[in-house]
Amino acid sequence: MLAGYTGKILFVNLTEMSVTVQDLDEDLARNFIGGYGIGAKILYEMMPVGADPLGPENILGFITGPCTGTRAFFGARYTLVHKSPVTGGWNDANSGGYFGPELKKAGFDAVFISGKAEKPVYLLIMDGKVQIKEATHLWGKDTKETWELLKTELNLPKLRVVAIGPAGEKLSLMSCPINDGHRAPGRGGGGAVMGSKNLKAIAVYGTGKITMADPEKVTEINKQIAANIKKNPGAQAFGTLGTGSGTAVSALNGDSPVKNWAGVGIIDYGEEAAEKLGAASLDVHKVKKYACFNCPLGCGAEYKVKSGRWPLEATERPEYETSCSFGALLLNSEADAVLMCNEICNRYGLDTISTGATIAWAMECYSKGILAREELDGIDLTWGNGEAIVAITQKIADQEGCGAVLAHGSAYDAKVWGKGEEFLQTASGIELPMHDPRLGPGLARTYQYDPTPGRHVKGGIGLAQAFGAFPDKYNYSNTGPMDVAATASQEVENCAGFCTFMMNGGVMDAKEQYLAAVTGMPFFQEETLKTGKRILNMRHAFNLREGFKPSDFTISLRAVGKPPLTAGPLKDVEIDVEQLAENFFTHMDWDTETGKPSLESLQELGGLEEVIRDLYGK
Amino acid sequence: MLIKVKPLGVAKAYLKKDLETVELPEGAKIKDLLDSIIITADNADLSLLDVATFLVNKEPAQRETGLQDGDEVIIMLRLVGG
Repeated sequence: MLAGYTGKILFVNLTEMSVTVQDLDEDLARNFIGGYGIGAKILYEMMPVGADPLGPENILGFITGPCTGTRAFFGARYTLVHKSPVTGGWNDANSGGYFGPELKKAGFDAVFISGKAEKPVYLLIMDGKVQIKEATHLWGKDTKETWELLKTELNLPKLRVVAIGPAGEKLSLMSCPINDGHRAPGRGGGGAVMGSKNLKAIAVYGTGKITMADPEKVTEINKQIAANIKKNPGAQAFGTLGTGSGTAVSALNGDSPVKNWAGVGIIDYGEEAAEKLGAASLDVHKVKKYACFNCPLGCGAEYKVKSGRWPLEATERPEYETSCSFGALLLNSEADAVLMCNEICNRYGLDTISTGATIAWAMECYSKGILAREELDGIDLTWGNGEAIVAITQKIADQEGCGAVLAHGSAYDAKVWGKGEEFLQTASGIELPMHDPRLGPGLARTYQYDPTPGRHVKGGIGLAQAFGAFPDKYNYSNTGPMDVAATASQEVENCAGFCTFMMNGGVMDAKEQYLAAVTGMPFFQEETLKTGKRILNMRHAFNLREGFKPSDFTISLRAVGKPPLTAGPLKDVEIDVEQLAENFFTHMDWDTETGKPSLESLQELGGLEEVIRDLYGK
Repeated sequence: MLIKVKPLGVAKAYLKKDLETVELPEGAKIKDLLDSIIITADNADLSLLDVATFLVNKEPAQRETGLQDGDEVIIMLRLVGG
């Protein structure tokens, strides 16, 4: 087996209460790397078409990459895969912390779970041994309580746990698992999928070693990255202040959406409000720095809120996405409310992006008289009202009153209540993340047409346009080659087990160098393009097999500048997302009407035999 | 002419401290303003400034945008968060 991998995959069927261990096929590893690459291949092979996302046939995978848990910087990630109960299609979401590395130390590259247990259970994985254990006593506990209880009852202080909270148990479509108490593969309803299987948690502990083919080379790359970080004030700020180091400015420069995507930060929100939610302001509560496994930046921090409306003995620094979705998106500048909402979401297991964005939708409906105060259980959900934001978040977490509807996201709410659809800010039914395509127009293509819609970690040219020196970014001709290359690059980065913020390391081909040094498999940028396209085709094929075609993928109009904003940094920007999509599809050799990849392209990429079989009968 | 300068967030780390106004010759552009206020010591990586957002009197502006006496220039870097 290639170095970097444990070489073992665990399959658990909770209906049969059975556990099977299989060897990781080396060709599978070479072709699909890890993470959602391997996940898409396995789910495509094993999951029946039309499976109910909240039924026993859905398969939930927790998959590491070859660089996860090694000494390669930024290699802390695992990916959660499943069919999404939100979009009805393919879903992947990744998370850092320590769960992924510990899973590998415990002997497995991945765990796939199917079926449904009769009563609540958790998986215990320790140094290659696997048990399905009763979790009735954990049901109803929040994610942090669950972690503490398991550490205590197993007498393993270093136990790592990914768990759902009450939100996942109650099948909230915005729910997610939480690992290490606050890290989350947040998007797409993975918490509800776990809850539908009566799976409360996975607990892992291991003492195994993860091999590397060329550890000296890994050290050499690490040194180069460390040196680069030292001379880059942006990276330094990231390490000091976290992912939110740019939150305040993002609200003003057009990066983060304001007032449910209809506002202009510099006018509607203002410098003073933005500064109150800036990382430096939030960090008055900082107790100490926190880093994911082997990260040279360490963007996390532990907080203590000593006084005020919502004192918190121990909580965490909110991420950029959280500060934006509970901040400028709601015209909220009350930092203590953001910290409290972050804590509620982490404990109950809720995606902070979708939760904040759903509240933004409800706020706009309320401000326009579409939702009455009585329908919101008497909460005065006016823009920027911190008390109201916390109150509604708690109702969502408890699924109490209006929260029983709001807990399933804005698209669900508009459908159930039969109103407010015109104010949804979603892509294929999932709330949009907090980087505005009007600043990086390629993000519109990514949000709308990626097989996992509405994600900010799916590459493409959008982030480069928003944050790099990208000439003529509002010119929509010939974007295909660069968009495909940037997407393929991100596919490989994600599947190798890296964090997107390895971009702060300043080594352009770091993932290729690390992949080669860790696995022993020669890996150059040419392989990145081919491998990334193969992985992308696999995720895309999952959706095609479910009956999706390109026209089924939608995005709300504000995010593409329809109508354009009339002031501020994004004034008059209107995005031709259909041209961006046509360029991308054409360069991928996908039919723009049906989405079907050409036979030649699939054959050239290799490793996609079952896709060719299903699409071409060969 | 006198130009009001307001760097926000991390942009402050790249620019001379305690800036409020900068005197520039008539016809100066934003790029001239930057040249006069950037700190170049310590081998700092200045690439982030290549993709800064500029607002002149809260309107979008570019490096080539010309300045007038009394203009307020906001300088913001773009840092990707997640």
